Amino acid sequence: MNWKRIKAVGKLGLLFGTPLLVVLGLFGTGVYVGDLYREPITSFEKEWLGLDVEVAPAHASDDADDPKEEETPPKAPVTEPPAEASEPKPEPETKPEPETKPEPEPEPKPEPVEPTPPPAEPTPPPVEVPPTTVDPVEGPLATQLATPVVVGVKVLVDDALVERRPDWIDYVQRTLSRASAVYQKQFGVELELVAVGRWGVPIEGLSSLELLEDVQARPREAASVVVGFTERPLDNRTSGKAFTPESDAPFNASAAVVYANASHRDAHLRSLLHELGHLFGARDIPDAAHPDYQSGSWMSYAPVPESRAPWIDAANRARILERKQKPFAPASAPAPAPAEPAAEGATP
Amino acid sequence: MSTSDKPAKADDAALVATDGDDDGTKKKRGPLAWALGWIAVPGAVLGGIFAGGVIVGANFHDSWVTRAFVWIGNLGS
Repeated sequence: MNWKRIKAVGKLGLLFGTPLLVVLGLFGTGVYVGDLYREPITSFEKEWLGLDVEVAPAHASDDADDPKEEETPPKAPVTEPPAEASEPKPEPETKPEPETKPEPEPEPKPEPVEPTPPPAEPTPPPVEVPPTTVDPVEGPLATQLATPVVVGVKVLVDDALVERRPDWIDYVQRTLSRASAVYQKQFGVELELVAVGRWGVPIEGLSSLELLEDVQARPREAASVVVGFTERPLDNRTSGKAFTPESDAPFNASAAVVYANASHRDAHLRSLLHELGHLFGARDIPDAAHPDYQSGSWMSYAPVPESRAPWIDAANRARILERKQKPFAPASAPAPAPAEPAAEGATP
Repeated sequence: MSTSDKPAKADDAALVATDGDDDGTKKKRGPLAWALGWIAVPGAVLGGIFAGGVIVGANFHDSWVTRAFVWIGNLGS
């Protein structure tokens, strides 16, 4: 009797266990495959199904990212200096500029900078933003690169962008985190999103300079920098606007406006990289014959396909690295004179 | 004694006669029904389970479920 009961229970277990095992095995295989091909699957979901998912970096990112880093052997020297520089580091940190600067209290002379012309070239279908291309740096710049700096950013989003992207908060987070990844690799600067808010500004009829002044006048809260994202499309002259400090200015600039590039999936990313560069003193490269223009530096006006890794020219990179530890213009500072390069097409 | 054999035979005959349908005719299923029953529906069910796993693996790669299955999968390699 007991034996019969055991047999019955065994049969029952077999009856239910086998299908359960098959189902679980099938599901588990799916999970394994899904994890293995995360990047193509999520990009399929995003591009073809229109789902709001974050496209995973190539799965290799766990394994193959390292090879990528190794691809740029010059990086090794870059990591060495920090160790050596760790001793002298405290000095620059303990003698922050602001302490000496407050006396002269020179007014920040950020000047409105040149809009970036839009990429005229039709862009290929959405492609995952590639990691940035990082050139090696040596000497004091390497030390600067190794010094971590965190910049708090507040982003304001205009109504047109909110309407176009119901997931506008996620969109801002994604864009800023991508920009931050690029800035971290290129300059050792982390962009931290402090606040996102709606930007009650007319969606038509204001020049980029007027928009910039409006952004500048908004409360910055705890952020060092305020950036206005507008859905205004790039025209032939403007992709954004930002104040740019002179090379000897004690402060970095703190306000920028970023236009949308409708032909890019990350419509604001490249313009954001560009305008943030201005805040740290980077200059435009408007001359199409310039080698850095032809190489597609993000500070140039060159139309660069979205599939190409963001890259910045050495001169502008050096400017940003040199100024990255400068404080940002205080919120109370008088608005920079909008008179100078007011013309939208002017060169810096 | 003899009475017990006959009814049994009668039952057997009845069983043979009623195998198939009520009216005694065995219904033949077409190839479409066969394919639907043996290929399409089970394929959809199993494919759905597999696809569910793929979605979970791709979108929740940090979850313990995914980690567990990936760990198991990696045991073999």
